[in-house]
Amino acid sequence: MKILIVDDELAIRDGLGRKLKRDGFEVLLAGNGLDGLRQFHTDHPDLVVLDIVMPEMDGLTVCKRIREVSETPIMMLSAQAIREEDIIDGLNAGADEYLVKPVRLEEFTARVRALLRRAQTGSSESRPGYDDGYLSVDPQRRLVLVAGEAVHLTPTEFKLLLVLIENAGHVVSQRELLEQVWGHEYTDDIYYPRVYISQLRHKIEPDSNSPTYIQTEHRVGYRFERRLAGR
Amino acid sequence: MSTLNNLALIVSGISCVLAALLLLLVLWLEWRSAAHILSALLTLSAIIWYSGLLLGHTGSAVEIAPLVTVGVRLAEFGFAGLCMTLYLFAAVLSGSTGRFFLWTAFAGVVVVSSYQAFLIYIATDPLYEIAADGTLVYVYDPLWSLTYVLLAAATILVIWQRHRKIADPLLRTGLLITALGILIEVISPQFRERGLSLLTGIGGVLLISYAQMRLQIVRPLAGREAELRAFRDVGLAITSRLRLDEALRTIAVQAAAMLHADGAAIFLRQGAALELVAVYNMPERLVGHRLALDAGLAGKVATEQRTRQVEDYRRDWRGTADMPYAREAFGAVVAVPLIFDQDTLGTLLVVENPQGKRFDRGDIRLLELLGPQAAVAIANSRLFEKQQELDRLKNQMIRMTSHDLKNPLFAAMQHVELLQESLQDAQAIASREQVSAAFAQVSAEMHSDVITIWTQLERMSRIIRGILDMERIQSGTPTYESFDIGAVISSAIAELHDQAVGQQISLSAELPAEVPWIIGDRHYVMQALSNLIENALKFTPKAGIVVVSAEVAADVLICHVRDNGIGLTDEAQARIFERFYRAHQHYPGWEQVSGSGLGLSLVKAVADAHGGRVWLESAVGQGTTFHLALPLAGPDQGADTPISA
Repeated sequence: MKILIVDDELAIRDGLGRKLKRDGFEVLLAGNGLDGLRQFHTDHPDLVVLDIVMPEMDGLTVCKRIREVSETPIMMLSAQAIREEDIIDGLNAGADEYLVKPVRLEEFTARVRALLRRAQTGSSESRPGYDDGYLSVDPQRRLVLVAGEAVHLTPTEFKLLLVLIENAGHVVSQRELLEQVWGHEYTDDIYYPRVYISQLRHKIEPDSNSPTYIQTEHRVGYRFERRLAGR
Repeated sequence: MSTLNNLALIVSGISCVLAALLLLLVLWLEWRSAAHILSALLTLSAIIWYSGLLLGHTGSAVEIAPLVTVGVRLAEFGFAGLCMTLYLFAAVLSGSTGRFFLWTAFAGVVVVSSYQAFLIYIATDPLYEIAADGTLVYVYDPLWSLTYVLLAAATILVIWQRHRKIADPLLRTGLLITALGILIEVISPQFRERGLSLLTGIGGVLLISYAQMRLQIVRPLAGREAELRAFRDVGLAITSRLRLDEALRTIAVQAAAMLHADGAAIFLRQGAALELVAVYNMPERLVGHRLALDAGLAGKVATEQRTRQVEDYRRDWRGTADMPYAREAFGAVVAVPLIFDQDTLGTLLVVENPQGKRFDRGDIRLLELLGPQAAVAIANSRLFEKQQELDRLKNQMIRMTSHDLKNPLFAAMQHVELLQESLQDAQAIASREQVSAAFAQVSAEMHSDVITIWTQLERMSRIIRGILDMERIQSGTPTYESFDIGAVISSAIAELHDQAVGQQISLSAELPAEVPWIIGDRHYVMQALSNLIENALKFTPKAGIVVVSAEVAADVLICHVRDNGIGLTDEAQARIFERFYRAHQHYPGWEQVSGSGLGLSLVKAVADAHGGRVWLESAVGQGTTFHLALPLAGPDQGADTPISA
């Protein structure tokens, strides 16, 4: 497994890199956003760790550039975030994970592993698909069509959609979503589902303001509603 | 003697009495002003004139010659006085008085009085005759006639030229009618004989007295309410500006508007000089002009801390000009000191153009009322700006803490973790390869050192996090949603469960079957509860208990965190929510408990941000109970917020 770490602080990227190497990962290091993007294109890492405040190109921009061409999982790492909105901004830029410094190395590697696990498509294949003519989800081919057009979903969004479809007609609580999509390490990150559900609605709903597929069950969680084909 | 004449005498008599009464009222209010003294002399002259004529006519009717002589002389004396005082009065009212005016006027009065006295002394009888029908006919000496005509003409000229300065039309009319009476008296013997000139002159004087009374008594009384209202508005406008430059500008505009003046300027003290900081209706480029502290009218007023009024800046102000072109552009000026807390902040000038009106007593009184308000507003704005600057520095500091301090701290913590791992590896190798006991000893010491470094770094990280949380809660807007406080209490307890077990403390919750939902920021509330529980755990000895409970009271939910720990002294209770206050430093045996001194101040910040409240009950040696009250969610609130389980 190849992991690219982009951080302008030498001591930090060196420390994170050494820890990941000890744990058996292959590590690539970059000192600024532009270098990071270059290395991403030449070395095709399996996961990218991005600092936000960096010279040359900041982390949010790098994240957006990567998202234009790839669904490689991205973990944002920042000292800056002090409000939930900042974290949501990072997630909206396409990051799968947002960690605020300082974070213990043990937790950092645990999150890296969880993110890699989530990105592996293997676990999705056994889940049921969905097709009503307007929305079509194919877990085997990892393909989502909306009104006949292919739509790009990030690994996290895709997995979230599959979990909801699997429980179609039933409410999935926020905690269940966190456990099933993100992993048991995440049960306290309560705003993750909220942010991703809104992203997902933008991508698959005919009208994201009055959703047809993903319904909010007040005080409980979310529910996927099937639509009859051809309607 | 004609009927007309008799009628004129009666009407004039009544007018004289009325005028005298009105004048008494005005004098009773204020007798020191030059205008009031002159109007008193004017009325007195009119009364003397009238009395003389009355005496003369009576004398001629009863045919007593000496009585007629005294009457005519008295009348002439009064008439001369009337002519002079009328002119002086008009001149003073219109402000067209030169520097030697008063001396000239005084000399004039002395000359006329001396001449009249001289006439009496040499016993020259006045020229008069009694007509066949008993009418008293008298003539004026041609020289005197010319003087009277000139004085009346000068009066009319002054009124004509300076009509803007004598703003009241009634007063202006009174002056003109009196002057007209004088002209008729001198020029036309026919009208004089029929008493018409007397009637006109006395009528004018009555009108003047009435106008004076109205101006000085009635109008101020009637205007007081409106004035108070205007003043309140001005006060509000001034004190509601927080930025200094806006406050100054508003003061200048409002001061000029309140006095219906042409312009205003504000000087503020900057060290040993006065600087022009705001102008209204004057060139903006003058702002920044500096004066020595005791120079200019502004400087004088600031050093003397006393209001000053200059009737005509060009003529009367001999000191340094307050600003370029002041001598050319300023007419009447009032300057009040801006005093706050016995300290002169500067001077407020209100200015009229050279052709403009003069300021009256009411104007000055209003400006003197405005001065202290303006000073308070300025002092306020200065404090506010200083506070904003401090706030900016604080935020900058916090940003620095957030980024510049967190990164190196993070790097250091990482490497300590790596070091710890390496050390464990080295120890494993050492024990496998059976390296000497000396190495085991050294590596054990290293291990304990690394743990100390880690603990201290973690403490630093906790303090930084505390400061950032505090800042976020105080400056940020919490994200409100309705949520299940019961679940939050449970997860706070779950989080601290291990710590409680480690300290052998029983940590439990006593919650009602159904805990209502509350509105708030879930994250902050969770943090506040964790801080309260953690605090209780810290200061409760082994085998103690910590209980978290909740109850509904009216429209709030109150969470209680009760412990049977060491308790708090009264002093500690009073200061416990202060930032960086660490009560346990004063408790023997508990000094070493770690903490940032921010935990409870954060609880208070959370309570404040939610419109809630936090308080405590405590007894030393028995324990402490903290109460946190937060608003309940209404039935229809938070309907569209996705909720965590």
